[in-house]
Amino acid sequence: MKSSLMSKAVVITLMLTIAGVSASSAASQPVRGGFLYTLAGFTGPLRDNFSRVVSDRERNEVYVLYQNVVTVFNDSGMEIYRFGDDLDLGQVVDVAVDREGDIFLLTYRDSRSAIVRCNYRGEPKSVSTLQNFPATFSDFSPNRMIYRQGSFYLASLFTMKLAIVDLEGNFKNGYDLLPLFELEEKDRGNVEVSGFYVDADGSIVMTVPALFRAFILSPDGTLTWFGKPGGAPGRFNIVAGIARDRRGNYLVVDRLKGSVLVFDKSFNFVTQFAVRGYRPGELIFPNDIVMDNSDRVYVTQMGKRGVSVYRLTYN
Amino acid sequence: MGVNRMESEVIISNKLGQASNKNITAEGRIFMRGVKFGLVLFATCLFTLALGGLAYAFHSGGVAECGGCHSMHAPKAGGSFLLIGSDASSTCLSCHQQSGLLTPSSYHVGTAEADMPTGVAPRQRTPGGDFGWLKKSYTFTVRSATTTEAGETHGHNIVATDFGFLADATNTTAPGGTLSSSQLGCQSCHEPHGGVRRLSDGTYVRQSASAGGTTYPIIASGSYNNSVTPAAGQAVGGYRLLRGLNDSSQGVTFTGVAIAIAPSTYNQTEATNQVRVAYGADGINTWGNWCAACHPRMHSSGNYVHPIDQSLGSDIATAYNAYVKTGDLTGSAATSFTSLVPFAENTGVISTLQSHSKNDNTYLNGPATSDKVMCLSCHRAHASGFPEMLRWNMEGEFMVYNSQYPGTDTTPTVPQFARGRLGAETQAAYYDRPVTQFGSYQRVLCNKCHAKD
Repeated sequence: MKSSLMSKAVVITLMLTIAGVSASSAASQPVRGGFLYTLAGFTGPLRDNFSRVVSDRERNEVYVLYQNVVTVFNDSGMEIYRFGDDLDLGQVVDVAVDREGDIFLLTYRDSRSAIVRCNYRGEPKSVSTLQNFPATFSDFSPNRMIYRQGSFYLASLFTMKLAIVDLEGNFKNGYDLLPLFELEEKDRGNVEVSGFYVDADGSIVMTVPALFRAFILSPDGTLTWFGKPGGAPGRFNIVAGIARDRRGNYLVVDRLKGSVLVFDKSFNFVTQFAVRGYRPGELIFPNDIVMDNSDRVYVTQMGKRGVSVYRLTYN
Repeated sequence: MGVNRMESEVIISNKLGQASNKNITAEGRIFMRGVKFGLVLFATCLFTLALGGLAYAFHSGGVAECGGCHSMHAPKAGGSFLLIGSDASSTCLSCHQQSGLLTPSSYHVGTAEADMPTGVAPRQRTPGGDFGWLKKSYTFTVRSATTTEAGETHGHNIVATDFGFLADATNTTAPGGTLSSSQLGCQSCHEPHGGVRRLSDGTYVRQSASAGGTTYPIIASGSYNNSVTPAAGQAVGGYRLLRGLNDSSQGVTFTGVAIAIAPSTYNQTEATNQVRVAYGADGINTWGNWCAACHPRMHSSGNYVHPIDQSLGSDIATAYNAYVKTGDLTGSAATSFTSLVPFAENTGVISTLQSHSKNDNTYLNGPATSDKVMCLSCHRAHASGFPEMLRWNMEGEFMVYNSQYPGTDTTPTVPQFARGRLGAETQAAYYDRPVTQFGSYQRVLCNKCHAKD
C-alpha cells in the first residue's frame, strides 16, 4: 500500500515538474512559430509532395517547383503564375531569383546541366553551362542551386560536393565534403546532404541525416556543426531542410518528428514548432524549408499536404 | 562514494520529490531500483550518443540507430512501436526516398513524385526496381479500344500512406497466397533489426537478443562484394536484411534464407555497365522457396506452370549463352550474362558469389547447366516499368520495334507496344540500355533461355 502511494507520488511529482518546466519554457521562449495557412491556388490548397520551395525576398513572393512546373505565389500565399510544364526547358531541378527578378533554373538536358536565365515570365533569356571545373569535379552533377550576391552555390547532395560559380557558370570554388566530414571515399553514396542553405555572408549550412548533424561551412573553410541524435526535443531524428531567420537562429526540419527545431546562433536549442499529423499546422514528413522577409516560414512535406506556412514571433 | 545501497536509494527518492522515509518496503526498494536503473541507463545512453563517433552506414547489417525510426517522445498518436510514420513503410521511405535526385543514388528505392512529371520515368535503377513505377499509370488506345495500364500492376504495392503508396486494389491477397495486400510493407520482406546472421563458417542463424541468451554480434552488412568475413563468434547481416529461417512474424513463414551478393555500388544506369547481383542457391535456401513464403501456390510442384529453382540443364544454358539478341545466336558463355534475365548460381559459397558480383562488366559469364531459374529471373523484387513487375515488356511480341524503343513519340503507328509511354520512358525501364543492344525487331526476353526468335 505504502509503495503504491509512493509510486503515485513519484509519478505526480514528475508530471508536475515536467509541466512546470514546459510552461516556464513556453512562456520564456524567445521565438515561436504559429501556423498561418497552406499555399493555395484558385481551386484550393496545393497538394504537392516534397516540392522545392524558394523565396524571392525582394518581392516577397515564393516559388514552388514540382514536377517541372514552377509556380509563383504572392505575398498572401496565392498562386499568381506558373510555367515550365512542357519540358522545353529540360528537366528543372532547382530555381533561384536575383534582386532584379530574373529567374534562374538549374536544368538538365541529355544528362548535361545548365543554368537557364529567364525573365519574370519564365521565358528563357540566356543559358550558361557549367565550365572550367577542375578534374576532381568532372562528375559534378548539382541538384541544388542557391543564388547569393552574384554567385550560384551548387550542391550535389548525393555525391557530397559543392561548387560556387559565377553568373556565366565559371567555376570559382569548390568543396568535397567527404574529407571535411572525416568520411572516407568508400562512404560516398552512403551519406548524403539533405538540407542546403547559404547565408548572407556566404556561409553554407547543411544537414546530413545519417550523421544526425547540421554543419556550417564558413567562407574561410572553417567547419562547425551541431546536433545530437534522439527523439527528445532539440535532438535529431531524421533531419532535412535548414534555414536561418533574421536573428540568426537556425531552423532545422526533422522529418520523423514532423517538426521544425529552432537553435540560436550558438547552437543552443530554443524551441520546436509543429508536430506530426494531418490537422492544420501539423506536418507529414516535412522536407524543405525557406523563410521570407516577413518572418514567414514555408515548409514542404509529404502526404499531399503541400506547403505549410508559419510565422515566427519573437519575444 | 561511501554511501550504501539503502542510503543511495533514499537520496534518489528525495531527489524525485518523495517525502523522506527510511522505512521503505522491499517492494518500494524494487521500484526505486527500477527508477534508478532507468535513470542510469538513460544517462548512459545520452552520454554514449553525445560522445559517439560519426555513424554513417546506418543499418550496418543489423539494428540501426534507434532514433532514425523510433521516437521516444513524439511517436505517431495511436501508432505502434514508437514509430513515427503512419506505417512502417512510410518510416523506411523517410530515408529511402528523396526528392531532387535526377540520377540513381545508392539506397534510394523510390523516386519522389516531384521528380517524375508526366513523360518522365522514375530515376532509380536498383536491381529491385523503383517503387515510383507504382505511380506511373498509362492510358492508350489500340484499334479504338482505350486501355489504362494501372501503376499498381508494376510492382509490390507496399502500403506507405504518407508517401502515397496504397494497398493493391486488384490483388487483395498475395497472388498464390493469403497474405492480405493491406499488410504488405517493406517490413513484410525485410527485418529492419536484422534477424538473419551469416557466421564465420558461412552458415546462417536467426537470432534476436533475449534475456539470458547470447548472440553472434553483427559487425557489418553482409550484402556486398566487399563485405568483410566475420571472425569466429561474430556475424554479418543476411542479404538485404531479408527475413528467413522460420521467421513467421509477418503472418507467413520464410523457411530458408535468401542468398545473394550485390556490388557495393548497385544503383546505377546500365547504359554502359550492368549491375550483376550474384544470386545463390543452396539446399532449401533458394529464391523460389523464399518468395513462396507469400506466394506458395505460384510455381509449386503439381501446378502446370513455369518451373523455378530447377537446374537450367544443357539446352537452356546453351541457349542463354548463345543468345545475343533476336536473330543473333553467336554469343559465348564468357559474355552472355544480362541483368534483364539473371539466374541463381548453384552455390551458397559467399566468396564465389562475391567474386561474381560486379558493376563494371568484368564478370559476365553465363550460367552452367546446374544453375537455376528463379522468380527474379523474370520479375524485379520492388517494381519495374512493366506489368507484373516483369523485367521486360511482355504485353506484346516486340520489345524493340523498327530499331526504336516503343513510344508514343518514337513508334506512333504501333501503340500496342508503346502502351502510352514515351520512348525515353521505355528505355528507362530497361535501365537506359542503348536500343542497339537489341535486335531491330527484338522479341521478348523469354527467348534468352528459349531462343525461339
